[in-house]
Amino acid sequence: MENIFEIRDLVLNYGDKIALHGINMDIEKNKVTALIGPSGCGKSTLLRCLNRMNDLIDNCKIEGNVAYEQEDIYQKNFDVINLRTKVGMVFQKPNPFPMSIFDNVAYGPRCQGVKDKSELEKIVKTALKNAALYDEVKDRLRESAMSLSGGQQQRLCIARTIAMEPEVILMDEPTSALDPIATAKIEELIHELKKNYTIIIVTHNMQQAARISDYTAFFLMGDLIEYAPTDVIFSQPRERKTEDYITGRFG
Amino acid sequence: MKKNRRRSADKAANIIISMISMVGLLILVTIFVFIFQRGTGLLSWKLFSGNYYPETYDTYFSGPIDTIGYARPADLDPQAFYSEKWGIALIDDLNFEGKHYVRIEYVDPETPLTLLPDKNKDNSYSSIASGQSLDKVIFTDNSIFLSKQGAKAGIELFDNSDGIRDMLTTTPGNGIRGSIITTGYLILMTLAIALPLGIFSAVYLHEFAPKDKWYVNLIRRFIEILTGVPSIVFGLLGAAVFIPFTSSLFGASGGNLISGALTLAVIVLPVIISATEDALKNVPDDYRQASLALGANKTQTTFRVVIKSAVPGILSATLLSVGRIIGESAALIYAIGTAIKDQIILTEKSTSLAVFIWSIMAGETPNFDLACAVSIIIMAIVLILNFSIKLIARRISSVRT
Repeated sequence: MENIFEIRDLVLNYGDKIALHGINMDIEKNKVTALIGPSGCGKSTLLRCLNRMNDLIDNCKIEGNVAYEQEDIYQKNFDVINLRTKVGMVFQKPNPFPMSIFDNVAYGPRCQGVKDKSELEKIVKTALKNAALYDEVKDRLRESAMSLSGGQQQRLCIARTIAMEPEVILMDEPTSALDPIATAKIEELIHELKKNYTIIIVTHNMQQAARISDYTAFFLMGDLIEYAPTDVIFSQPRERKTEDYITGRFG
Repeated sequence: MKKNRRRSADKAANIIISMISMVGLLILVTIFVFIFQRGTGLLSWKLFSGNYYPETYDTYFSGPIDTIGYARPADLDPQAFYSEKWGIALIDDLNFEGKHYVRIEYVDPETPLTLLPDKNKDNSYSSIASGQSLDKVIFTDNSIFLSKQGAKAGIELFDNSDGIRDMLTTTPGNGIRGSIITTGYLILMTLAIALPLGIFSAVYLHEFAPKDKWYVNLIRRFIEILTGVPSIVFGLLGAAVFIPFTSSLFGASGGNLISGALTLAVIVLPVIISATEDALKNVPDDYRQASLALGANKTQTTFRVVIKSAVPGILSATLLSVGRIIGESAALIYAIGTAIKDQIILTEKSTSLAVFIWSIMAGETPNFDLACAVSIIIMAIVLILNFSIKLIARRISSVRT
């Protein structure tokens, strides 16, 4: 048991609207942690705190501590770029760059200064294989990523993330824009990936959380209501609100 | 009754509206027809490749002429007079000022006339070629001014003579080669200055400058205002600032191409900045987020993803500026002057195609036909540019969806 993230008293404001009130949460290494809850409950906001993507929002203010491998990521002069190479992110909408499939996957390593062609080829091939996309695209690596289907694009985005060899992959509702078959493929992929990566996934789909995660955290109105192993949460929730939500009484 | 009146009023309104639009259309069509009628006759490769100023050759022929003679070519204009002895064809014609002159219509490639020693240049030869005007010939026993006596008399004298002591020919002139080169230089130099400045300013304003700060908005508003300033004001700026600047830096005296390019750069800069900013605005935020989430820094994100996606927009901004450069005349009259040149030197005066029209129309004998021909060329270029912009815009929208 080793915690990769330790979140302490995290408070986040958008202007004068409070999005998270004092979250305390530990996230275990090499497990899949699902964040669930109704829209606007703060689960995506919390996810974006973990690789400091909230920095991009102008009026966002953060208090409290988030430690990644025992190091506070909100301390002054912290190397955010380095953090983001270790904590990758997959977004809700597949967002490949308008370049070739190869260039998409090679983008991250190239930004880190990898120039050697054969090394890049190796990285791209491994990443695509690990994202279960290689067989589908191996003959058209030079074609535009925009020619892929939605599900393929999302797996390309995952490949792009694992090409950086991160420790953690944050997934922000990665299947909400996909059809059931593409969703099944991504879930299968998450099963494979959890051997090597810590995965934190935000999802609206409770069955999905039950299927793929080891731990589940339930959020409501910016509060962490319950956080426990997934089978416990779905079979014997401690809190009434959790039970109401997972049984579909509201949300 | 009432119903009928309403219906006829509707009909009358319809007729009046379509008639008014017809009048507008008719005016436009008339202008085009007029320009094309006057100008198309002059459009030829010689117009593009020829010098503006005619050149006079003063030549002579000393050796005995071969008696074999040269056959009249079958496709020669029946109006032309031909000398089989010398292998030369002459034709009467009017120049653009309406004065009579004799044009050399054809010279047999085998005759000695094609290469004659030039009196004005030591040990140098000049060619007599078709298209030149034949002004005066002094034979060993006779002489003739062709513009007075005509082509027929000229050919008769050629046939009766064995030697030429002095022959004056003039190249046609009125070519626009110099102005095309000037326009090309202006486009290249202006873009070389304005593109980097404009693109970097737009990138700063949209990507790096703090959002919603009053001074950023002020800069933006300022650029918008600059787009609407009449170009002659920028011409004054060119005369007041850039001409002294280029004089002290490059030793130019008066208007010159460099100060012209600097002035044009100021004119197209706001166009490039606002068009590039629009292109950057159209780049989805997803790309920026994805890039940053992959551990790229701001510079890498901006240059490898954002600008790359904005390239089609930047390209159409560039084409828009090229159109502006080609069509600009008022500002350039101050900044590079109005003297038509055949030899283009960067630190001297010359004319772009648009100012060329001004120059040839401003003199005592306005050359209307040539002005129309150049207008057609400018319109064709602008049309092609607009077409390419539309094409790029269509490609952008098809990629996005």
